[in-house]
Amino acid sequence: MSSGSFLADINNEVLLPSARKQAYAENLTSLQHLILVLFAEDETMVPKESAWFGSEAPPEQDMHYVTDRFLEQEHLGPFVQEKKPIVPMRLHPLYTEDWIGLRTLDERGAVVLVTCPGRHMQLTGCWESLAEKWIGSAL
Amino acid sequence: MILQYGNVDEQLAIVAEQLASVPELSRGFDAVGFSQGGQFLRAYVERNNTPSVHNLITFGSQHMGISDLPLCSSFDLLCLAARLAVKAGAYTEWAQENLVQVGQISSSCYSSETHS
Repeated sequence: MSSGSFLADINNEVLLPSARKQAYAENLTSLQHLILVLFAEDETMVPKESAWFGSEAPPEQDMHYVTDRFLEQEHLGPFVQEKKPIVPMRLHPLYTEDWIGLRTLDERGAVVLVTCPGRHMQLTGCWESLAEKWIGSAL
Repeated sequence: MILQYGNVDEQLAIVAEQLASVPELSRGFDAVGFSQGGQFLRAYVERNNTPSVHNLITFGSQHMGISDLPLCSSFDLLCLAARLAVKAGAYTEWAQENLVQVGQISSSCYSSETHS
């Protein structure tokens, strides 16, 4: 890939919508479930909400769009308490325009957002129940 | 130290080949990705997915990249230099340009922190 990065590629973030790779969305939506685990006290990654496809709001004028959307939302969840405003997954164009099939998955109820207590990759007491529930069930 | 994007793509292609050669996985499998491994497994699903993944769990993965790095220890000059360089890039080009590199640098900073 000459111009883009790995992440831009797998997020299907392209200048021209026609350049978007349809196969990426088709494959992702073939998942039975996508379980996204966020660590509540994660200080290793900023923002930690990236684990849930959240991102920091861009500065300047785009903020108006974001804050307007924020105000429309009834369930703000933990996002309003962050120092920098976070654009949650469901407000990002990646989701609203369904670049990678994430919205399709979510509307099917197949995206599971989980919070684990603790810091980045502190798995103690968190992973067992998730593994029990989601690993090996389909075989 | 910095893993270039091309290498990530190449490594993922190799992983996909290896997965395809395991007969036990031919009917698909559930996958668990830790931290950056979560993005990499998502990339496998989107790009390859043969054999297919049923459930994908990602723990603390940077699906939308990161905008800041963990602090370096004050004596780790390499980490500090990398941090400065990445921060400059991350703020000027918030689009995803540098983010896999950011992730790599952050993990090297993190491990040097934990070892010092």
